[in-house]
Amino acid sequence: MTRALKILPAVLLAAAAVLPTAFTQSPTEAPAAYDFQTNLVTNGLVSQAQFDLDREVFEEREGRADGLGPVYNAQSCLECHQNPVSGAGSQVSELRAGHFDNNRFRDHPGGSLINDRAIDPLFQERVLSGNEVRTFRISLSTLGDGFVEALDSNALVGVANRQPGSMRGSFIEVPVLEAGGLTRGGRFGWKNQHASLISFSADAYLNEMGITSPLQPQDNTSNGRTAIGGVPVTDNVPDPEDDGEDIEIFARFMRATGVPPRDQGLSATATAQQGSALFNQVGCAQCHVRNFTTLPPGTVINRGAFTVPPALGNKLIHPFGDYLLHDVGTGDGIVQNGGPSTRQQLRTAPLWGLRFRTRLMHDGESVTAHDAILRHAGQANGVVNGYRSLSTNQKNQLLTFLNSL
Amino acid sequence: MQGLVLACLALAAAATLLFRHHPPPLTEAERAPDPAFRAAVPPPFSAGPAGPGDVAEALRRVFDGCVVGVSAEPRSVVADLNGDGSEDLAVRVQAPPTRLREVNDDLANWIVQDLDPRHRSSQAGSRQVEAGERLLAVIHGHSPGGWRSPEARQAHLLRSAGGVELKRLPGVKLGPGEAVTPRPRGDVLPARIDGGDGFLYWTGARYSLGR
Repeated sequence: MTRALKILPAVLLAAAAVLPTAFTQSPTEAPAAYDFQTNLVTNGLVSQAQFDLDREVFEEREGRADGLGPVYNAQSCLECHQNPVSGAGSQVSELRAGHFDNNRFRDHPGGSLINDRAIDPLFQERVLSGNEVRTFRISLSTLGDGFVEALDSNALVGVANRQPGSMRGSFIEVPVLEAGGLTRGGRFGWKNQHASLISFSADAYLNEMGITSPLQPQDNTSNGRTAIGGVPVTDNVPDPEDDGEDIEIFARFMRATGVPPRDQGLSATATAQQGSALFNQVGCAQCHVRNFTTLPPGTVINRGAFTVPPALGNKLIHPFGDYLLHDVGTGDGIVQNGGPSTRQQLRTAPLWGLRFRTRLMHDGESVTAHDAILRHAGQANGVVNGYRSLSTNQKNQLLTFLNSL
Repeated sequence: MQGLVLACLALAAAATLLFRHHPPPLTEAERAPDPAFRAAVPPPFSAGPAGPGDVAEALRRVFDGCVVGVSAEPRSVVADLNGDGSEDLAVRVQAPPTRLREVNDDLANWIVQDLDPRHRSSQAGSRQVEAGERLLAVIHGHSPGGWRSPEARQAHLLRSAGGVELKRLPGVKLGPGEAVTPRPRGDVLPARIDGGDGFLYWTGARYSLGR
């Protein structure tokens, strides 16, 4: 007893020293989306078995009996989100159009999205004359988007406020459909048109596949027409075609993906590391922001509709994007949720997973990273001039770094 | 001894209370973006004449001698081709034979493009400038100095541009129901295409010929 009493003070002192650090939570790195064999692995949000089941729903091919159409772009999420694993991006693009009357942008009849496919030849959409604003938009990766959803909107505002005035990005607030339309900082889509993965899923299910859900209960028209030659533009499946379950599963699948992993071999080379330093030195990282930390677990986001789970909370991610809108001279002329001032603005492309991209920028019109860099102007003009001033060797280092992402 | 134990217990309790982890906030405190920020409004566009000295200086700055004007007073035109409210310059140039390798370098600071789509399938590759070839160089301006600004360095070298007239036309206006090529972003330059009338315009990604 006496001996125990003698060592007790030492134990207590040690505990006093250790306890505070035990409660201090440093952010940990978000896990990678797939392993060395390119097998998708859960980030821990759900079990691997559940994740695999959710992936099957994400990959599921929809048919007419499911409510496909009347107009659509694809039959499965997988068609656009596939390379190198389910949930990532692809070369598939969508077509948008509208009219600018030198004062304001007007959506193409039926909406700016022109669906490429229809379940009936009568319903086929096409760009109507007088809609001279036309642009393609390439499919984005959704890997790691659960972590992006778990970013504090104020962190995005903070990035904007730290950017030089001539480069400052636009932060917009957009409706969260599952929160009754209350707004939150947009972060998904080329126009930052969504803030939550549930809203994004419901939007994509309707606009890419023509499947309605409680959050998007009305099917699309054909160029704004609900009937053509007396034939109703319909898929003959009662709305909503999804009771909301698929939307929840798509969102859960995306939330459970890890982040696009870097090419470990290439990123370890001296060339890539020198390129990484040049990336900062030139100023690319002002908008292609390297690091974010997600909100702590337990934080309620999406205006009350979602609570950050431990698997997504307090995680360090490296998206190389700022989730803000910028005018870098490539703008598409389309207005969505951001209002008229965002007509020529696009979200900074997150560069994680860049090495799997063959067609770059929002329209996929640049086929090399060098050309894509040279296409930047406007708010990126000064940074790109910094790139132009690099020697050929330095440019190669920077491009090697990009190829490691 | 008991006093020491009690003191240690008190110390441990105090340290734990002092450093204990604060629970995370339960909701995001969303706030509006910095109201001071507004998108910059480009200054009103006014095409000023391009003096030969200015043109030569701009070519030197952007192309570093890899292309030069085709004459002592190279023909040029000032227009807002990419529609960003800043003056751009289009000028006829050629590459000195000694600089061809640099002009065609994959990592050159300009984009070489052939306006004739039929050349895209040629063995030589439509992006390879040849000796003695006449090109149309376009330097995109950067507000507010336009193409004269030291910061204006985005440039294109256009092949197969012999039919392009160096004359500014305001952007093509569309009437209701008028079907044309995708909307030109800014001014256009008239062009002869296979014997017909057309124009050179900026698509947002590249230069293209439209009718």
